[in-house]
Amino acid sequence: MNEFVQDWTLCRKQSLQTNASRLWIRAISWLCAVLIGWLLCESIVRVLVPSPIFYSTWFTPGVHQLDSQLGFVLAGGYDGAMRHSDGVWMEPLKLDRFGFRRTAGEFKSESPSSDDTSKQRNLVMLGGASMAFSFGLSDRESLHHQTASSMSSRATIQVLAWPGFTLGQDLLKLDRFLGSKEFDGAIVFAYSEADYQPVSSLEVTPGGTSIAMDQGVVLPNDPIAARVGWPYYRSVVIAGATRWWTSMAAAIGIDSLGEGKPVPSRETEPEQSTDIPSVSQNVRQAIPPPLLVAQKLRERGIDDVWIVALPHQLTKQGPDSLASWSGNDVSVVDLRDLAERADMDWIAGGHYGPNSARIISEQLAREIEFSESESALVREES
Amino acid sequence: MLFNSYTFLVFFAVVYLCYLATQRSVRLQNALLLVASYVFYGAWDWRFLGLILLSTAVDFIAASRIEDASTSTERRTWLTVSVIANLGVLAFFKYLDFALDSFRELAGLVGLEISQRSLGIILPVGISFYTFQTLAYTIDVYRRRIPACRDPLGFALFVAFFPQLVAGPIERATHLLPQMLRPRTIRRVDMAIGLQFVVVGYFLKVVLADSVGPLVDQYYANPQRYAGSIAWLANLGFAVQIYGDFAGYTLIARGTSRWMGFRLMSNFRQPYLAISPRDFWSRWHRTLSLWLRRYLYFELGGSRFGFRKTCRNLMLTMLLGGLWHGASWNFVLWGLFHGSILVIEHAWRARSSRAAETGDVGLGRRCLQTVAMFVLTLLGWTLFRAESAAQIGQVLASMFSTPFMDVRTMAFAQPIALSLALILVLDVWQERSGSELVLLRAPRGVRVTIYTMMLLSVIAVGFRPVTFLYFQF
Repeated sequence: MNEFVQDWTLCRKQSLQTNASRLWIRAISWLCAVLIGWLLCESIVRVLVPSPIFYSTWFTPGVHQLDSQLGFVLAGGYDGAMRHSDGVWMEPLKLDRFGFRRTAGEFKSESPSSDDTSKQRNLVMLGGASMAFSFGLSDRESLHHQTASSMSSRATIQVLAWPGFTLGQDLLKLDRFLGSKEFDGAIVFAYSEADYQPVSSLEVTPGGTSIAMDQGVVLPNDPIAARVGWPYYRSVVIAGATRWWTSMAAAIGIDSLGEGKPVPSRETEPEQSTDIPSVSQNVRQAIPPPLLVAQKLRERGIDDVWIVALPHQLTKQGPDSLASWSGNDVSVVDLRDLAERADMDWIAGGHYGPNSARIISEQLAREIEFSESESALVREES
Repeated sequence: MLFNSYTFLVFFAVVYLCYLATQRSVRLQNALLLVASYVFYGAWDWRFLGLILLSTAVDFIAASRIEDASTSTERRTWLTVSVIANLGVLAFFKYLDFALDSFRELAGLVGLEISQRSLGIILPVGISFYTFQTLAYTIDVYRRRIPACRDPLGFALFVAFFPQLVAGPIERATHLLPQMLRPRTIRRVDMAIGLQFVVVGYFLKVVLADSVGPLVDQYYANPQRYAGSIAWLANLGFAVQIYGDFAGYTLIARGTSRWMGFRLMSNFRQPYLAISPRDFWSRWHRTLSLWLRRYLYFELGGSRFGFRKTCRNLMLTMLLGGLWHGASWNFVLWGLFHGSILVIEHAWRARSSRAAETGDVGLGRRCLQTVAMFVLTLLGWTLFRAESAAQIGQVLASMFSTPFMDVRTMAFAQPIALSLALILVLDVWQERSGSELVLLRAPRGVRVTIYTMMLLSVIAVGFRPVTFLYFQF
């Protein structure tokens, strides 16, 4: 009997051990299957859906760097590409040592018309953000290069615009990066609705509070991403799962992020410098930013300033007429109606295509040369 | 309300919990599902609920009267009422604007100027699907294939059942109606089958179709800017998109229905492995093919009256099948294209011996036939996807012209090739095993890996607000 009990106990022990090991094997095989599935998912989704769709990036990595005064700026000496967010096209892009697009007239093909270097004029372009930056266009197709090429006299044009940057920030860039450089004239672009709203000063706010950076590319600061931290940017599954959670919570009316809490950025944010210059502090009357910038440029010694109202693909921004802007010692070139021309082409989410850039540049060059000849005539008469 | 929306997930969860809670009473469950179906449809535009109610009422009454009628004249009268009401609604909402535009253009060609503009009629979502479903019911009652349904609640649910209301499958009354009227049991196996359908369906739609869709749209927005290789890739992409989109929808519909104890008809059977046009139409949108064959092709005489009439019937059936998809000339061309290749196949079969026709086909020959049919299908999709006749010419010219390569070729090739490969792997697996439930039969480790991969991919990609292509039909 005792032997039987011993045998039975032994069998029972072995059976329990077998069951336990079976359970372990099953759990481990499940875990392996899930892990392989996860890895497969990470690989497949990365091929099927290019990462820009997750993070809305319009440049290849390395384009941005953190600047304490201006927030995330374009990196000096960047050699990469602009790209569509779905990855369908890419346009190579090289930036100069300050992160600006290369000056028209200085790279490869020079302005064709004149060999007389004594008459070379140095112009600078401010404002217009990504439109003046010529996002999606090669150097040769860019607005500033085509303008330089269209002018009958030899000219170099430095463009200061960066996507997402304002006129006030462009003015600050001019002072900070090109303070010692002399310019014969300046072209100030008005493009967005904000460029037509009267202001009394041009505040320059760094952009670090609302964006995050990953692999040198600025990303929209997703509040969920800030909560999750680096795994959000490393795993499409984690990024997707957190977004699912917030969307589901929103669908059933729960605020999963909490309200009113500031969200920290991934990168060290630029310190909110209190001595960021307010570009114009002594203007008593509110006027549109381009006029304010024109005033500052004239104070800086640039006499010829053209304010150019750029066409917008969807709506005509600003008032119907800009006649009231002309009495401020500046020439106003209103090109907004060009948007209605059938041969204007639009690329990369509403940016100028090569044709549009050519049409605008030719018109701009003509207007500049016309106003120059007019003022020369006035000078001669006086 | 889209299947690929968070709102739908919450909606379905609530409806399903209530459905389980009312399992003791079929009528209560039907009432719940009917209200849910009307809410589901009304979420698009509540005004069009009137059309469903009209269609339901007309066909319910007409079928009852047909069954009760003592004379054949009376039976035929009620059938005519049903046909006119259903096709009248369809003609008004779907084809009137197209007819007016075409008439104006035709008049313009002969020098007449007509100032009448199109009426801007909004197309109610899924109208072609539920109209065909209810029409088939009345015709079946008329032909005494089924008895008329005397339960208005069950019949209303048959017309408006939300999983398949807006994009099918176009159910036959003989198949779905009895399920509406009897108690449903939900077994473990139904849950497992439903899970496979739903997971694969969401993967096809959200991960594959919606990922290649933007590339296809990008190409078709400016086809003249791309090289020949991208024209081919865009068409391959559209093949993936339309299959992933439509088959995905059908699988989600079948899966959610299965969880509630309903079995919906299968709509796809590895269509891109078809070896001939006839084979393709027995695999692609099978419930529509069945409908057209049963209620149109056979009515016209089918293949009973000689070669010429068979060809005529084939062309006519495919032409109307094309028009069913939408009021546009490219759908007409698509229908005629498929009609033509069916006629060519019919002629070829008529010449070849019967033995050769039914004999086994070797693997090599089968592969060649599959590739040839796939290329024909791609050409057909060009007609289907293009926005105008001029664009069809542009795309076809680009497909067969130089330069063939472009710097953007790889950007198109990667996602399209991978998604097509994933679809083909699944299809070949199903074809070889002779069952669509291959994942359920796979070893547990493989099953868990694939489910995890598919589910996590859906979660990673997320729901983008991309509607289903077949909603417009």
